[in-house]
Amino acid sequence: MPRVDMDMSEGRISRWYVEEGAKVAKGQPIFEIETEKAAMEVEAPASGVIRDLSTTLDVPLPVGSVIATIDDAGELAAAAPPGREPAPRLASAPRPVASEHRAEPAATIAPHVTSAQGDAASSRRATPLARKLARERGLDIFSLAGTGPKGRVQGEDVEKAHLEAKPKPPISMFAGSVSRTPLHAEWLRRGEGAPVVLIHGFGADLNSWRLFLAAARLGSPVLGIDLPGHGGSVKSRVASFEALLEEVAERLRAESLGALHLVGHSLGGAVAAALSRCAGIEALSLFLVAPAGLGPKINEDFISHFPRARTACELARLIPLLVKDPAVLGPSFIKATLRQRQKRDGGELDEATAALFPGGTQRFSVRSTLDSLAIPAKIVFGAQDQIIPPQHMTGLPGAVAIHCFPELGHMPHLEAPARVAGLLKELMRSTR
Amino acid sequence: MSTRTEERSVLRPQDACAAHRRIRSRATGARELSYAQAIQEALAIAMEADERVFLMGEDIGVYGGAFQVTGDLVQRFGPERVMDTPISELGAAGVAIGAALTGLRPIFEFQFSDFSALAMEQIVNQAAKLRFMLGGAVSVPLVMRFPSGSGTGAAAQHSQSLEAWFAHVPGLKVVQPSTPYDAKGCLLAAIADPDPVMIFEHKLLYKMKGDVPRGHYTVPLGEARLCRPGRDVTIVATSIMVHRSLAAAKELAGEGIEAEVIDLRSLRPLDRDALTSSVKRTHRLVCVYEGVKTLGIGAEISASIAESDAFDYLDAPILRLGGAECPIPYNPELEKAAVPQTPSIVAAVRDLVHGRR
Repeated sequence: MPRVDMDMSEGRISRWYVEEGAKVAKGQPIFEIETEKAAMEVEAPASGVIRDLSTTLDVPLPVGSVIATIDDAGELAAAAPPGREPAPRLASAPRPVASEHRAEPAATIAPHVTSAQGDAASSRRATPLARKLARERGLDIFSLAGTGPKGRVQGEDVEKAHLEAKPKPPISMFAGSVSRTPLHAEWLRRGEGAPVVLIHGFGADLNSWRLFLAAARLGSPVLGIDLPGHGGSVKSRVASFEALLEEVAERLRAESLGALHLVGHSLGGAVAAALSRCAGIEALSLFLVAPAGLGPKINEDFISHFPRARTACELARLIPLLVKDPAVLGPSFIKATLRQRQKRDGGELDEATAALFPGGTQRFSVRSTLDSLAIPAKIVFGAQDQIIPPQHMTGLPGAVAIHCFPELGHMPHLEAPARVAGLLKELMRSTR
Repeated sequence: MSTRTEERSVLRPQDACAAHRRIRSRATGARELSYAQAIQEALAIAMEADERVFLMGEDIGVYGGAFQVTGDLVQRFGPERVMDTPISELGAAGVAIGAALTGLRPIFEFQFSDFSALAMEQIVNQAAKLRFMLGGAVSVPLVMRFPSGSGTGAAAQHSQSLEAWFAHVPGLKVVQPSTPYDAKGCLLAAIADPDPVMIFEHKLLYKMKGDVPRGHYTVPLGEARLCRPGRDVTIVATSIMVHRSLAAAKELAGEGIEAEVIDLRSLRPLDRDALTSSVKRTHRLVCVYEGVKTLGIGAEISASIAESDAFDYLDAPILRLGGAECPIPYNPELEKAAVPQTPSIVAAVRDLVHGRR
């Protein structure tokens, strides 16, 4: 039983498209599941013959439980030339359908471990990390194609197989039915022309733009979006930068905004930069304020303590890291942040930290995106930035305009809103 | 023996940053000194503070030392405390150990680290053993300094990197500071240490400049330093290889490879925690050192990772870049080719990260 929804713990099979013993091809829909929110088709993760099909319909089954296996023995026997290394024999063990990695990896991996083919297993090449990931995700490492030297299976290969094994939401068939809670977005200004999309930084939310907007007086409509795990989007969790990006892109595509201007701060800056290359997003310009994704460093002291700060005292200690003049983020900012905190557990931000900035390192990079950018772009940052080292803003392509404010910190849009807004308007004018 | 290594916490990127900030704020006016000047300043501070401290070595008095590290200290402290020894490392090492046993604090400069071979008996069989064999009744607070490494055209008998020999011996501490800041801090920590400490100083580093705070401070012996955080690969380097690895990391960053660079600083005690925590994040490890590759410090680092819980996080074979399996040649081009250089580090790390090894 695959997890197709963030909050899903169990699902019901509403119908089977195949029967016991049927031959299926990888990618072919094999059954339909219903959760509290949606119904969707699940595709076969591999080609083979359906065995041990569970016929109970409309009964809640826990995520991770085995509902059928796909036997690929026949195919492999035909495909494998005689006299080859014995490795493929191992794959003749039944392979569970859509095994879910977190719930019960032991149950689904068991058949492979006990298949008494130790010699074959040891003759296959895989890095320790790949073996560990496969173990954790309940994948059979010996069924994966390795891209390393001499076919060695590496960490990346397992991650890729894991992503492919997850059922994709059948958007074409169930148009309108959304598989997860959409992100929260809000129109902050009405107006004429191409809209401006604002993407906040780590630990903030769309309200963090209000001060900037008041100073900016943009004529365009302005849409603020809350990143997964932030503001009104706390139901979504952050698994990786790529997953986060896809959720934001999906949300923006749902708005059918047409051509738009992308503005992002810090983590949101990296998201904005990556979004400019996403399918279905027509970006006119890119405005990045102290963006992440340009180098490996990030202030771990801040990243690890800010999500957990529960008192005014703890927050006040961290504010000098954000801005050069602590008065910019005064008592009202602290109060608003604390009020937000009371509504939730903070675990979602810890998860985001672990996924995006493990050990004070930025896991993602948008440098290659900027290198091949075809739209006008500006980067604005403060030389006193203590969250992301200003040195990361160097070595960028000549076409990207760099504005460095010597006296500002990590939040130029709040520290000098009028001046930063002036630069944004200049950028937007240049696209007309 | 100090138990500092057991109590030490795991090294993380922010520790390096925080430590750096602390140093900056505490230093009442850090200024630029060369590596040699930083050592000389540490010697002078220790001699001013404690009259038991004295220097021994060949040509360290009026001549100022083969690499001008002791300089004019003989004028400030007199020939009784800046003592020229005869050309007999074995004899002088015996004198130094005897002085340390009887309560003095000798600092012995070997003219070249290669000559440590002449004093092997005193260092390995006496200095390293006496505290153990006499049940802790005595200790040998002796500091030995060794100009080492290749790159000066001094050929096979004056260019070796022998630190791994001594790091093999329990009872000795072996450190390799790579910056002027660490050169001063490690030396002052070594002088304060109750046991024999061997400091290997790379000859090409003596002229290197860097910020050094005034006054007394120490760098703990046995703690690695995170020089540059990165997500793709960990480069563990010693001595001058730290700088070549940092240059390589800078070049690789242009290709989208972010290398983490760790300065090991100390071979014994070895900061295994710093290594495992880094490898768990980057999944790849490259060891870069000047000593001969086979049975060098890289072998110990690799084995430590293979034995640790970081093993499960490796996504590529561990790589060692060490000195060639030959004596250091006199020919300048061959001399360069005999030890890792920035381009060879770049090429090896690139291959590793791109899954070609």
